[in-house]
Amino acid sequence: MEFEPTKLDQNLKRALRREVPSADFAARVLAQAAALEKKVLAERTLIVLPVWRKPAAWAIAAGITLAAIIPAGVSEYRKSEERKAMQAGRQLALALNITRMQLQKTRERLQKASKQHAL
Amino acid sequence: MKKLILLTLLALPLAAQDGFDFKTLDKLGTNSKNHTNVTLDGDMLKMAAGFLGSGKDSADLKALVGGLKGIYIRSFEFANKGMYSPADLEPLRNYLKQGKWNKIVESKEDDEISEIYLLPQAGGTLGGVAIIAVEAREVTVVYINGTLRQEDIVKLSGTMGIPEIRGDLGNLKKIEKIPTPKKEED
Repeated sequence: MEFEPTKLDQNLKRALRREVPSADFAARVLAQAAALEKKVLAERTLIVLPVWRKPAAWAIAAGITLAAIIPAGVSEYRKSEERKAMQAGRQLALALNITRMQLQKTRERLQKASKQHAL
Repeated sequence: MKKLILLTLLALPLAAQDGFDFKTLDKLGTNSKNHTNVTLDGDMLKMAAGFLGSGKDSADLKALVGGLKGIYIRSFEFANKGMYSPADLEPLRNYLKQGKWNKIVESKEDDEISEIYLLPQAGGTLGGVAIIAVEAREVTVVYINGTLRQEDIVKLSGTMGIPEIRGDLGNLKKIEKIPTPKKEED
């Protein structure tokens, strides 16, 4: 049983028939590939963010800033605490001296009064 | 409820001072030539204790300071007599009359008055010491708040000039009133 070629078959045959490429086919393909590559590269360049908009850049900058600020801050805090402690130490020495002086004065007054009272 | 909150808020500064409000003594120094104000409390005292050195005396002082809650001193010097009102000391005297404060020394000689108050605590310790020293041109108030051990005071009596206190502090309840000395006859 033989099948008669239909119109569809004929169309397929015609579409799929082997054709000899034109002489400049390879050149045109290469040119198109080069153009495509150029276009992709151009698009890539366009989507590159400026440095200041890159999160990584911010993270690095923040890291550097913190690395610079934290030791300076810690050092300044320590100095401030030392100053406070020294001031407190001086105040304590002053307080103890005033207390000692007042107690000595009181003792002298008591001794003097006792002597005079005994007389 | 609002009244309760208001009263609580009003009481907070007094509670923070842990007793007497030293601002009431500021009036004393209005006409003063020189003044010395020392307010050391809580963390400041701890900080200060760190600067007391490392000798034996310093260790004794550190032990003493370690039990304290606060040291408050107001000292005013005046150019002339009568430049302050002795009545401005009354709020402090009234405060010391309340509670368990004992006036253990009261000495009066001409214009000079010395008063020492102690606050006895359980276990033979003191809860505070207050000194009021009045002269014609000088007024000094010392208020030490916190636990003072008897042995600390005895140990440091030489170093600090604190008069030696022997025996149980609980027995120091009577006021040791020293009479005004008789003036020498010409």
